[in-house]
Amino acid sequence: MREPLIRYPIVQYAYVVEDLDAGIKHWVEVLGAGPFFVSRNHRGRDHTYRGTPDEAVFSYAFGQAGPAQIQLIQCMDNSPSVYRDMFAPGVEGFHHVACLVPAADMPAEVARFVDAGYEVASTLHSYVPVAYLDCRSTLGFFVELHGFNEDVEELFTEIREAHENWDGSTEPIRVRNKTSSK
Amino acid sequence: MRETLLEHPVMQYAFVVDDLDEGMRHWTRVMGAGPFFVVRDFLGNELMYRGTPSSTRVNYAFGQCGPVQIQLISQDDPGPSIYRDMFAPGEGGLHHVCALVPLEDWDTQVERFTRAGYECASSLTTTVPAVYFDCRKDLGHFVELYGRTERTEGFFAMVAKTHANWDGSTDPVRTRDGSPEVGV
Repeated sequence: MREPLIRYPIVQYAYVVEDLDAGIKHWVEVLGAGPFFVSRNHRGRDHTYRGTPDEAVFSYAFGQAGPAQIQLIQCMDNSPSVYRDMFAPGVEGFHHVACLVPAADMPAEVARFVDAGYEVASTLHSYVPVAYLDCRSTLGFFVELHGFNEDVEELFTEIREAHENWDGSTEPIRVRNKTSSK
Repeated sequence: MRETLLEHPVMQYAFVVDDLDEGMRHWTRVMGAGPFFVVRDFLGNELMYRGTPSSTRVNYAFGQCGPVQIQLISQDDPGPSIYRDMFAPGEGGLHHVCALVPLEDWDTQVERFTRAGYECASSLTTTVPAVYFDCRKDLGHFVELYGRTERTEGFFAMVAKTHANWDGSTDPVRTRDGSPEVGV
């Protein structure tokens, strides 16, 4: 019987970039990802880092590339964070994979990682609970468990359909009308 | 019209690991990826590294994880390679993404990356050509183009289908033809 820690498919690959707009440009022009939906200067609701409430501000961009979603992240300040854990200012690279977990199962799924010895490095609330597990010791990156509900499904579907119907150049950077900061 | 360099979807994420077997265990245990199909001590035909013939051998493992394929790569050979370009012995991380390119589009697709200023850091052939462009300055990793034929597409489809039907524990490491690997 299959009993990996993750019980839901990985749907997203996330990178830290120094400049969100430059990052978007490269992912669009080289890999054909996009369009990207951006959320700038975002302060996560109920955000914690290593167990302490945190006010760090990030800018995010989400876009489809082939079968998976790409997230680009820019740190907007020098606060400690799961991103700064891996990348000092000016350093960029691959940071985490994400999977969607039915919101009601989140506590149990997070507990499975904790029981296996992985630390909850950060949590926040974005429609639903979100947790980042520090899996660098075995995988070399973080794993994000993101709660899944209708709002989140709508977001992922919108990003994928925008990519499938895109001409590759019209409005590569977009803002969603619905945002998770509500 | 979509005017991006890559005209085919990214279908694989490839990670360098220090030890192939340990890497596969972690990816199966944590991520549920697998089973993995391994090729050990692999030397690509006509392997080139930065314009010079190379004889650096590497180990590969291919396994499905959600909607994409994962490739794990380890290198015991001390020779130079695109993997050592990014990771010293003992280090690991995301190294490249890969797209399958139909052979009739091959020359055009390679030319587009070259013309955009990305260096062809390595190339080799299996039953089809493979090239690795150094896109680290813009993406932080390499981009691999791999020839798409019925045979290569069939292998990747087999990897995905085996994952979909897998119980998560039977023969987690297999040879490339699908049989359990002896001694693992």
